[in-house]
Amino acid sequence: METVKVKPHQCLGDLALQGKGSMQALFDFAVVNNCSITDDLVAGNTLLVPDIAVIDKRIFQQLRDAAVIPANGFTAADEAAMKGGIGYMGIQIDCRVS
Amino acid sequence: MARTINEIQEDIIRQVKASHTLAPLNSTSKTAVWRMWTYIVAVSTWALENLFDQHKVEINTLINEKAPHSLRWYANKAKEFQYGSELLKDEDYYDNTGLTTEQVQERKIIAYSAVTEQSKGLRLKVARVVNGDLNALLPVQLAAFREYMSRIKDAGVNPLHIESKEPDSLKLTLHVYFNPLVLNANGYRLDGTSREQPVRTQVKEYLKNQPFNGTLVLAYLIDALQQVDGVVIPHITQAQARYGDLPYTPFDVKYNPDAGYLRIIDEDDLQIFYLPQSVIK
Repeated sequence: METVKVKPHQCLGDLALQGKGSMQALFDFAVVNNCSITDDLVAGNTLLVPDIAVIDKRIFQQLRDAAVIPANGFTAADEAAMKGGIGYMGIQIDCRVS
Repeated sequence: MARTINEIQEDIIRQVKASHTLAPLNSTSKTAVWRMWTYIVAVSTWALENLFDQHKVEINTLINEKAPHSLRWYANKAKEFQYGSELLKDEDYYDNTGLTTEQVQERKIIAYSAVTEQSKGLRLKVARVVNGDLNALLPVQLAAFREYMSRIKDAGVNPLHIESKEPDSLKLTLHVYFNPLVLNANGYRLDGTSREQPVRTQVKEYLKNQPFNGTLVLAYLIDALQQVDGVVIPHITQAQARYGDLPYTPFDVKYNPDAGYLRIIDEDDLQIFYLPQSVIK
């Protein structure tokens, strides 16, 4: 089975878009990799690509031609970094008690 | 079965258009905010529908695994056997992590299995495929398979006879009334499109295509021979079969192969006499 390497900030939906041209492949990716559709992926990991045909050839080709790598992964850490504020602070991470 | 994102979105848009209170949402732009929202909702619904599907699959698997072991369970379990793999401890399945699908398929050597109930215990017949045809398991493979079955079988199923035998041998004598415009007196095609005798090939193909542990019915074989171009009347004058070292026994109507399948082992076992016959109107 084909494999794909996860780039930083990519989520499973990005991989579905990049590999099969459509979000419709999201569940196929989740099933072959035995993970949840909302799991945070670790950059550098290798995931399996499901054995199905490209769903939307136009989008698949456009992304490929423009060498665009979709990366919309948004982890809890990213959220805290963007929003900031006391509600998103972690003790001993960005909230030092001295 | 989950609908596609497009189907769901079209459904939502149809509802929006039908609604009087939502009439102000009339922008035809493909990227109109309201249309984007329908897409977002459609994707969420689609995800949920897919989750339901996955859930159903998981529950079905659980139910099937819990079901009492039927004859079909034994037959299916036999096909799951992987030559060269170790079973998980106290389980009846393998851990295939690290193996590719191809490697797993390569290890699954048993292509056909059939289970019959006997007055005492069960009888399990298996066969593998070698060069496109059925064949018996090698002794070393059979030993591994016996160990596998003895580990996973239900307690009390005793004895569990496991067999993988050479095919039963079939002897046939045929009188074929042929159309002299298509075939010659030796059974070969006049136009030379095939080097084999079509009738001989058809008999062998028919035996090959029989279901595993299926019954050979001579009337069905005749029907198959009737399909051969140039054959006017196929007539079976004698049919004999044997298994193991037993002598050949003739049969008139049908034969249930002991090994689960039967073959013409020696070319001379299939005797065909060709008699010219013009087409009967």
